[in-house]
This record gives sequence, structure tokens and C-alpha cells, in this order.
Amino acid sequence: MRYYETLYIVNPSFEKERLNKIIETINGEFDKNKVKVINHYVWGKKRLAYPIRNHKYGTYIMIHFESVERQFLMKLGMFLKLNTSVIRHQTVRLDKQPEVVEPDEIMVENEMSESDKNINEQEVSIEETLLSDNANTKNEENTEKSEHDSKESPEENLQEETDDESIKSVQQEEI
Amino acid sequence: MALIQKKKYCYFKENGITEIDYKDVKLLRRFITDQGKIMPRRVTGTTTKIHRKLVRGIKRARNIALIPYTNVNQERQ
Repeated sequence: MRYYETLYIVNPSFEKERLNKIIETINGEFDKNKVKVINHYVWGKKRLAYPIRNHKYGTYIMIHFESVERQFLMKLGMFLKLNTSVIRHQTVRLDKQPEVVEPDEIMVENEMSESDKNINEQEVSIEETLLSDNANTKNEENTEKSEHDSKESPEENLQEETDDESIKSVQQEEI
Repeated sequence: MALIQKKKYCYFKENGITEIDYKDVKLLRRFITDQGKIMPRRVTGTTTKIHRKLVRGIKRARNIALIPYTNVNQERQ
């Protein structure tokens, strides 16, 4: 009995339902060959180190299984290769029996990624509030300015008029 | 005067690591250059036994796009 680990990358734009469908189809392939699956879970969405088929990101899915037949590995390889939604796959033999990953732990991993997203969202919201605050203050300033303008303008005009008059008077005196 | 060289220690021997997992990107990144090349044993100071495992791990990680084969083109962009 040998233990194997397969890690495969799926198109990142697929959502949960579609991912579950893919996982089901691959599980069906395992069931056909009567191979025992130990773990089968989504490892996470990651940025690829280099683009594969013009994809910059990929959803990594992990399978742990135990098999006696070696021919099954060939079959699995062909199956994953012919599956168009799988971008890349790799099977590795394990020396030890893999630990069974409980759904809680997977949830924790997902929560971690979600918390990152939340942080990002928070940052964005903070930025938005800052922007909106700035906009509000600007608007207020504008309104204040306009008020000032409306108030100041007649006075200025008066001053100008007075200035003009004084100048005129001075001119008259000179004459 | 001969140059005094700092003695190199095997990172894995110091930390008691015997097996290398290709999914441990943080560890593998210590042993590749900025360009993505595998660092030679004379630089890292790892033992031959571990270095062979390390090379296998890095090559596996490269295949599944966890580590780049090369970074040269990306830096130019």
C-alpha cells in the first residue's frame, strides 16, 4: 500500500458550486478504480509564479489517496490532462500516511483568506470614508467661500468706489 | 593575511529538519536566488544529502507554479 498526494490547479474564476462539481467528477474517477481517497479539499487560491494558459491566479486542490495499483496513476494523469478545467497537476508519493484533514481546519484556512479579504475591504472602506470626508470638507469650504464672496463683493465694490472717488478728488485738487 | 571566512552551517541540521516538503515555499525561497536559480551548496553550506532533497523539492514546487523557473523577464517588465 502506497500513499500519494496529488495537487492540481483549477481555473481561478470558478466558484464554489463549479469547484464542487469538479471535485465530484474526480471523486467518481477514484470510485471507478476502487481507490480510497483520504483527503480531498481546496487548498486555496494563489497567485501563480508564472502564467499558465494566460492565468495569473489558480485555485489549488489537494487529494491524498492510497493505492496498490501503479497503473491507476497513469489513468489519473490522463484523466486530469484531458480535463479542460484542470490547468496543471502533479502527483507525489508520500513516505508516511497523511493525516486526515478535518473540515474545521479547512474552514480555518478559508477564514484566514476571508479575514485578509475583510482587512482589504476595511482599508478600502476607510479610504472611501476619507475621500468622502475630504469631499465634504471641500464642499463646505466652497460654500463658505461662495458666501464670503457674496458678502465681500459689495464691500469691495464700495471700497473701490471710495478709492476711485478719493483718487478723483486728489486729481481735482491737483488741477 | 588570509581572509577569515565565516563558517557556514547547514540550516537543516541546525533546525533538525530531515524531510523537505515542496509546498513549504517560505523555506524553499531561502535557497533560490532572486533570479530563481537554485543556490549552490558551497554558498548555502547544506549537506549533500539534504541538498539533493532540496533540489527535488524546488523542482516540484516549480512544476506546480509555487516558485518561478526564472525571474529575469518579470524584473524587466
